[in-house]
Amino acid sequence: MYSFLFYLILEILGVIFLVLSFSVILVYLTVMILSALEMRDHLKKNRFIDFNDIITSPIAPGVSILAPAFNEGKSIVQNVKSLLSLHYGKTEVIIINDGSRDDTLERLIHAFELEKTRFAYEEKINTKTVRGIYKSKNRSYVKLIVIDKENGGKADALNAGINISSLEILACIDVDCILSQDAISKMVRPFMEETNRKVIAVGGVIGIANNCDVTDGTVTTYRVPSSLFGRFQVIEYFRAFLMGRMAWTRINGLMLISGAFGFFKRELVVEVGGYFTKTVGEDMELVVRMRRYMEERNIPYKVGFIPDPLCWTEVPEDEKTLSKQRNRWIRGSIETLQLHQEIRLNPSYGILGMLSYPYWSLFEKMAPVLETLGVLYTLVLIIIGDFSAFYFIAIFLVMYLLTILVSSFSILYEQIAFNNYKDRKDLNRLIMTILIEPFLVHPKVVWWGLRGHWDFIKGKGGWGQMIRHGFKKSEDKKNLESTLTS
Amino acid sequence: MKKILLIEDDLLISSLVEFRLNKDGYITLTVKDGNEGIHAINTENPDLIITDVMMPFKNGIEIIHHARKEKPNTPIIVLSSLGEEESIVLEAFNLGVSDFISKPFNPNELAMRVKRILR
Amino acid sequence: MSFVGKRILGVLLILIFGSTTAFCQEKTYFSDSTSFFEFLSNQEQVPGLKFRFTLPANFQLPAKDTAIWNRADLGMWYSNSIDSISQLKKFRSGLDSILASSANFQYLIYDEPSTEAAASEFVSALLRNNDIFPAEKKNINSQDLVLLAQDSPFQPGFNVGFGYFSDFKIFMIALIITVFFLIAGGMIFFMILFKSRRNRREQLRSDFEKEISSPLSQILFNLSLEEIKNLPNEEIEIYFPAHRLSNKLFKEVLIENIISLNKKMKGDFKDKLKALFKRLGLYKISESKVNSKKWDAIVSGLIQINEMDLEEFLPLVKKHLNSPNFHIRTNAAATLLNLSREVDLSFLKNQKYPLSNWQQMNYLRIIKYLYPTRKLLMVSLFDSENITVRLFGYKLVRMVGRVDLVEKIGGIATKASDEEKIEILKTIQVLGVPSYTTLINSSMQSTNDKLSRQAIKAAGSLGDKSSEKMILELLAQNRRFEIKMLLMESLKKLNYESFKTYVLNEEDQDTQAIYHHLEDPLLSYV
Repeated sequence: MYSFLFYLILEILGVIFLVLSFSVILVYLTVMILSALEMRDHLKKNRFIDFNDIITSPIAPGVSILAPAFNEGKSIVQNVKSLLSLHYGKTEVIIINDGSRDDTLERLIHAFELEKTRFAYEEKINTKTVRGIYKSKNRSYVKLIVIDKENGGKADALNAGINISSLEILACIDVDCILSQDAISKMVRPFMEETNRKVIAVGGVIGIANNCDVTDGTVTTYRVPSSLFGRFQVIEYFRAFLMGRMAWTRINGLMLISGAFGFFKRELVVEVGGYFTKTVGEDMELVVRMRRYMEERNIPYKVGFIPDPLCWTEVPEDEKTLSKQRNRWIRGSIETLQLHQEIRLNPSYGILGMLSYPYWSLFEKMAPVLETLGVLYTLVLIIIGDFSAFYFIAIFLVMYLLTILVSSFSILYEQIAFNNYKDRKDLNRLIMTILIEPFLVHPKVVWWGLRGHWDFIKGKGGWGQMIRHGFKKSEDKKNLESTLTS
Repeated sequence: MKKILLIEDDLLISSLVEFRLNKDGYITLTVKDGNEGIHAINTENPDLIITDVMMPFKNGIEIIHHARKEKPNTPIIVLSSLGEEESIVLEAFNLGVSDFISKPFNPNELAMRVKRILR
Repeated sequence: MSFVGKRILGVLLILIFGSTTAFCQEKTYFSDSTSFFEFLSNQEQVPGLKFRFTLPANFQLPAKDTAIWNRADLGMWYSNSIDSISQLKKFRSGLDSILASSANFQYLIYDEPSTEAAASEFVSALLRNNDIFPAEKKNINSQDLVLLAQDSPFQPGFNVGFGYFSDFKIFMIALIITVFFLIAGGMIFFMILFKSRRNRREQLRSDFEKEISSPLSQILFNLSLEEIKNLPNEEIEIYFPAHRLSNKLFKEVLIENIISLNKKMKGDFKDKLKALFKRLGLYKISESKVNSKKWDAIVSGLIQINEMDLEEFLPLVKKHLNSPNFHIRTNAAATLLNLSREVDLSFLKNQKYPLSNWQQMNYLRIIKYLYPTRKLLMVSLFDSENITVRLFGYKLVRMVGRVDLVEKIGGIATKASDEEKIEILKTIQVLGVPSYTTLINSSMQSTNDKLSRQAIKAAGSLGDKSSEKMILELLAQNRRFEIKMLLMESLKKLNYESFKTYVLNEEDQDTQAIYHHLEDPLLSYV
């Protein structure tokens, strides 16, 4: 009897892994095709658009730029200056000092001649105490508002900014991001093109600034990072942004907009109760919640995505920081999916419930677990001398080739669409990275992902019980916070 | 012969303006971005600078700042697609530029103003 | 995943599971004679199965052994039948060496001599039918359970096996991998080809651009408009060699450059560029583009018609006004606006699709540019079936400053939807037309949040005594913070004294906070 069970389990696992492997291949092929179509359309559209028109038009929407700052003293003044000089008419720049322990606030006050105001506003979203709201005496900085508040994390800081913001569109960005001058006018376009479907949010690409030359807020010379981790992330970001998100945009299934560079309709963000401060994946959670809100009301909507390189950031190149980041990312995904388990395979949530959610559960959240199981399974087969091990080795080979294929494809995309890495040597180094990354970096990423799962199970950082239960409706977040604070 | 530095990223515009100014007997030097512009101001010692305000790398304001500091007596003409009421243009005026021409523009008119300033 | 993807996966699944078959009737329990004999010695006895030994007929049997060997009619010697294995072993050990070497072993099934294969099949059949059960092994304690289970002759009744179909499966996997790589390889090949072609084109393009700039300058500065219009063919040859003008890419670059110059030039240069465009016959390209099937070609054709004032193609443009493609209809409308003798907006009235802000921005830019010189007919917009078009109409009144139309839209407002009222109120407010206090006051009381807000703002700039009274009434109803702030702001604008009195009498936190906000000089300008 036992031997029967043992072999049965092996066989079932075998079938499951086989199906998974084939679906991975199919999914990637589909993603490649969809993203290619979307990219083609995007590039065609761009040819006919004069973005200067948007800058000056009275019809263009106002944009509130929200940038939380925590211990950014060294660079804050330069960063704020470049935010203030973005080419766009109607903007306000709201910097939220999230209880920095360094001299961030003092530097801002000094550089921009700030004074505390008696700003009155309604606290629509509960936040940590706001200590003061500052504006400049100097009329050239009239667009600048600085909020000083007690430390409450990035989501809380953004919520404070949302409370005070007054314009139609929110641009939530990391203060240390480098934005190209036309970033806002390009990101606002999908909102302006809205016809039948409400455009609720627009995401953008994050470029990697490590090792690049940056002059006056624009990346002037592109160079690939010098470390393997850095180069790995260049490829990873290409894959994620130029392929993954483009493909999802094509079928309007995008679930994640990077916290470092995302644009949202203010009205709707306030309506759903702003960012959820109890999760580490606040950026993804907000998009999913906003989408749910629209789905639950049956309002046609769209989440847009602009693949032009408009925003750059320095990514961590040391293993410790990177592992923490990845751990947080996976926990963010798990928490978001847990919070919104209601939509899983629920046809009333359309593509979101039937495609995006299952995809994200299987290929993003569970990927590290499944990959590890797959390897263990193959090892067991080899040990007991089962002939099927052959197939699994073959499948691993196919997976390796597939990774190489997808990565090279995403580099080709970048080359065709934007052609930023011009140096032949840089390209060669990227290709080298593609070949060795699956052996040298990927196992670590999987390991960090497993650690993230483990930390989630232990209940680290999150909000255990609540998150496991999830939101029954998209407004639950709002109601929840009001019962908590009252 | 007077030397004119033209900082303009649009190749066609710059070649047209150059052609027109050469016709009037000026020597022209064209660069296509802010960094080259700054370099040319330092090394070429032009008698007049014509610059756009929105350009790659450095915006026109920075160039004007630089020119004011290095060559306080060199006249500057701003050639821009932004309207006169734009804040960036107002800032340029505050820095003391000699003239402002908004695109779309007439190259003959530009040549006329150049002549007037360099007389 | 796309629908097609799902289908392919379905087919794959069928192929994989298709190889699963039930085998249980075919099962043989004993792979060889050793295992059969091992089973027998373990079993000791099997009903119906007996054994005996035989000796050849000519064998000289010693006399002492005749008791246990028999023969019939000088035939073969055979032993008595033995029915258990231990007896068999005993019998065998009792034989002397000569006998043992000549004796043959025989199975008897129901006393009929049989071969080993038959005996084995007989026992198997008994086992299958549960007529006998395998005996337990003696040394049970030293064996682990799994091994024991494996040792039992029972096997799974069904078999999710790959084994039997292994050849077919290798074939399948190889096939899938091959197909996959063919697709992938094809895609990569296409991409590389595409990139190299594009690079070549880019190079050519920039070469052409350099080549074009000098003759263009010469034509524009050295020739008059009339001269360009009547440029003889030989002279065109001097500027643009004939082999160039027959090159498609060259013509494309030329068109792009003429259009981009046209946007950036003023005065007679525009006319010269248009004249040159026509003289070179480039309008034929515009025409074919507008008639194309590809949306991007149509759009660029429309842009050419628009920029180059190719009025003769206006009928072609009109066909695209209601195109389902956003970019086509935007540009068709823009072109029509630009080229018509009067700025007649009635074509917008019949737009089926909602007018996006993007389109409004484009039309507004053109209208603003043309309005000073051409007649602007916009009243028809107010009668459109399409609400976004009506809204755009009210917005236009405000943005081009048609104070004369305020009366008309003011009249519409009483019957209009809330959304329209908001836009109309905004227009009335921005243009500063008084005498709409009834509309403003009634809108202030609306339950529609957005409408009442807009009305409160309008009241601040246009209100009278009655509006002031209404504001105080609304404030007394102790409304939400945001509304309260707007109310107080408008009250402050209308009557500062009354505002002060209100603040002095209300001591609640919100009122005081809003008061300080409104009085803060740093916050007073927007």
